[in-house]
Amino acid sequence: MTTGEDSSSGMTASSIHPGAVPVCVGCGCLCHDLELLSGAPDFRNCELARNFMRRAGSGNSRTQDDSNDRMAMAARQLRDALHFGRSIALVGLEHTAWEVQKAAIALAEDLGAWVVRESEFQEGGSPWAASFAQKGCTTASWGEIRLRSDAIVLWYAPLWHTHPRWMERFGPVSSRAHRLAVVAPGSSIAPDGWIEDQMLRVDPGQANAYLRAVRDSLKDASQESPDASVRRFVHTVRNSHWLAIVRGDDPPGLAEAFGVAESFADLVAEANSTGDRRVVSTHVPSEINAAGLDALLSIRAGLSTPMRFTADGPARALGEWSADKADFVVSFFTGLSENDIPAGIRFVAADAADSFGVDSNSGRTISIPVGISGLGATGTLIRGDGVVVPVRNVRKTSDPDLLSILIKLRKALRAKGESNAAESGDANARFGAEAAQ
Amino acid sequence: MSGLVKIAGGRVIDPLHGVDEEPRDVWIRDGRIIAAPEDPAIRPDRTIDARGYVVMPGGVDVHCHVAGAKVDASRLLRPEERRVELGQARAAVDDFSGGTMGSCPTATMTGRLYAGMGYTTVNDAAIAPVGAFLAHEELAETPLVDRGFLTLAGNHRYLLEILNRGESVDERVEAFVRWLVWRTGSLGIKVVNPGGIETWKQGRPRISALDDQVPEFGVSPRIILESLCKASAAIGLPHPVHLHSLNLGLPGNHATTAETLRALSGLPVHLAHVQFHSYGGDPNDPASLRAEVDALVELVNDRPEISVDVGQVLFGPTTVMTADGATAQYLGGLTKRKLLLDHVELETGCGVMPIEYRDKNLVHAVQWATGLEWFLRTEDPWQVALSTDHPNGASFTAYPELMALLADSGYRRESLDRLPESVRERTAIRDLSREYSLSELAIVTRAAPARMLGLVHKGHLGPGADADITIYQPDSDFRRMFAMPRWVLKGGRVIVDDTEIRAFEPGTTHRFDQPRPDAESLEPIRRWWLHNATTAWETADIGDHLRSSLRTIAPRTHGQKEVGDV
Repeated sequence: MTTGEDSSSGMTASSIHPGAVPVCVGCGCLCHDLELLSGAPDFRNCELARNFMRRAGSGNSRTQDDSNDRMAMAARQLRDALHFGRSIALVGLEHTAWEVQKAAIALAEDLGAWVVRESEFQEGGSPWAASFAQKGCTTASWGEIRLRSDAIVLWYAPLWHTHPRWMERFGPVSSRAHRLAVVAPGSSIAPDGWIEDQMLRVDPGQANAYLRAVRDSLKDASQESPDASVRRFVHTVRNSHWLAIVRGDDPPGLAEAFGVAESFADLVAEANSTGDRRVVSTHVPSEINAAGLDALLSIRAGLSTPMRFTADGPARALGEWSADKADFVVSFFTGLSENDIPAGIRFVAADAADSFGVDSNSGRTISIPVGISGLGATGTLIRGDGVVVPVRNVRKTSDPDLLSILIKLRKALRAKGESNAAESGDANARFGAEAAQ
Repeated sequence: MSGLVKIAGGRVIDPLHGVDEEPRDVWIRDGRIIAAPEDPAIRPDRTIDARGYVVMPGGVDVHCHVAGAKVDASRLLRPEERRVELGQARAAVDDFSGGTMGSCPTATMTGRLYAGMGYTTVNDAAIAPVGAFLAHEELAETPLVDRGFLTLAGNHRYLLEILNRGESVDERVEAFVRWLVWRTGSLGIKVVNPGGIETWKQGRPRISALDDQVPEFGVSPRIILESLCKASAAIGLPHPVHLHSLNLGLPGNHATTAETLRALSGLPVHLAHVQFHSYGGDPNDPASLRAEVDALVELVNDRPEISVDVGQVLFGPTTVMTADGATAQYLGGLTKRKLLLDHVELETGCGVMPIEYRDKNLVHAVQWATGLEWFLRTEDPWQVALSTDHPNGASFTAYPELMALLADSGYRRESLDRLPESVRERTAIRDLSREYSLSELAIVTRAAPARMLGLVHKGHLGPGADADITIYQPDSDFRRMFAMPRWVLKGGRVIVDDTEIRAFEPGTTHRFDQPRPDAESLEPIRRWWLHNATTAWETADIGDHLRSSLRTIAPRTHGQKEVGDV
């Protein structure tokens, strides 16, 4: 796989997708003012990207070609590992950049594996998708946040998101005074410590209790929390006219992830209910393709299996998932951990975190670079805040390799759906078969 | 499609050409309607025996919401709909994609459902400029129908800034509108709650009067509207400003609507979902809602340059989606249901929420009757387009039900009898006995909306028109008749036969035809963009590759261009 370069911007653009919008290979941030020297990657305007690219430990910069090589290596490792499985499920393809999908589908085809979407696997979608479906949300795009907010709270923001460069997205364009509070898991620190003095700590496992305490204090001013961190959070909300809460991905292993998502939605709704302030929340993913990106795209493309609901709301446990029959699960960027997988099923997670910075694979995790131009199944990239960036439509590609992969994807989905329908007779499963038609 | 097709002996209804259920033949070649060959020896390659059937142009929906981020968000917000309604529209053809139903069907299903009931052109009435590329992608995935959309303009901060500055306003607003329509590849502009969305996004109290001031900018909704209507007319956009005015859905809003029409005297304008803007009652008491259609209908009857679509409410569950975040927040407060509110990138807003219109709910019943009053009291059907503001008033799949209510006064009375008694006191519906003829139905569902949108090749059966044709089996049950046409032709090709979809046609998307805006006129906008926006200037534009793939619609020049001037 090769990449071309856009000489005018100095940023990389895929040669498979000439004309596609250049994307920073450092973090996929879509910043449009970066300068990357051809052949010798050097993000002149972005210390963050430089650090990001050098985090391999060797001090050497990474190029996109490096990342492609690394992905190919990771794919080979996966393929080798998968030879141990007899009945394999590949989970979470909606969360990957397309190059990774390409490799994964090729693997699935070679191995006769099932392709299983994460939403099926989790039976209720992600905690945040479930929370959205239950309660809705009040949100805003980054331009609105930058323009209007007089305070920003970062909730579980990935470390590099607290970097000054990244925060420029929310930098003031007017004379508004911006305050900043950061809520982070207990052990996190900012990369440069530049906002450490404003960081509010949440002890591991206490996120939901923390949010409940904030909500209680907001609802009843006489209930002042004994926790100084909570008091400061509440103070920030109360003293803001236009507050943005910028949410990163959940930290791995977050206890009560569904509860946290629901409490978060309640907090935003209740904070808005007074009518004298506006509180918006927005999600900033740590990967190019946000969790919701392909959910959106696939729903309109018709490939998504509906979420499964019970009388009490979205089901949260593994149920009739077809891969219950699998003996080997490969998770692509799903946030799934070994604990999520039923006993007796082998598990490998392909994880995008730190994709440019990992030299070797540790434990059961194989890292696959994602710092590559990303695009959804139908060719539109939606930024984390919902702003649409046009890229090339994969489904209309003339690239023979890509066409071949897409045909294989369709076949795999169809086979999986038919298998589900035959086995369970379940309406959702039948739909899966129809959707793959 | 190069073959010669003849639709033989049908009861042809072509209101533009004054043809009303006359037995005629319709000839088609190369996807277009042609005059009957003069040489009697010429034989068609295919003949559709339409004797006994009703032949009309394909349906045209002037106002619906079928693409863009708000539709995607509604699908995410409402998975319970997808749980209830699964599966595919009736189809005997594999177009290699599937989808889901509900009040916001997926793109593929949307195309199938429209085509399945004889509609062949749809116009999404509200696409955020920042979402234009996505909308085009989705519309391209909506098969069997031709498409177009209007882009949102009335709350763009650049517009508010130039109006506030007050220098060379006409020239700058015109340049702004040209840029907006060019960059989005749209047919024209929609104005939603002018200045009201920006005010809401600031977190300020709602503005409700035409001369209220938008905070920070000191401009009024009246100024915004007048400037955009003038610019739209000067540019010759094929469709006049498509207006969702102030105070949507609020009791007492008829006064604002009337004042708005008077303010735009002499300027062409299209009032969107006018039913939602025609209420009396106490603004502070939602339960006091009553119809207040009289004066508004008179204004429209006297002003042929005004057109309306009704936004009919029909009973059942559906989804509210609007750029008017202020109204959505108000509704959310009333209903206490899940609600999405979005602040969209310096341009507009968004609100999405589930709703169920119940026939035992007096407010909903009044809305139902208010819409029907509009249809039944507007003298010239050419000024009215049938719509439910899909999915806001009801899904577009309910159009056959609405057509039955218009054409069958007995069915209308039966429906009215199921509603709360008080609806008779709050509306004039019980006094209206008018029944739409088939020709009038063809006007409000085809000929008029095509004319309103400036789609000169749609909505009629004259030579040169697109061969988009629907052939119905006459039936005293109008719901059945209009739900399942016997044949539907798209571009001369039979896509529905025996009520099933039999062929896949990708359809095309329309845009306004104008020259590329010159760099000099764009420079102030570009500078503003670079300072304020969070995407590259280049990504604000859908790009020449996509633009060149769209079918162009010529400017409206001297007054209203008639459908049929092809």
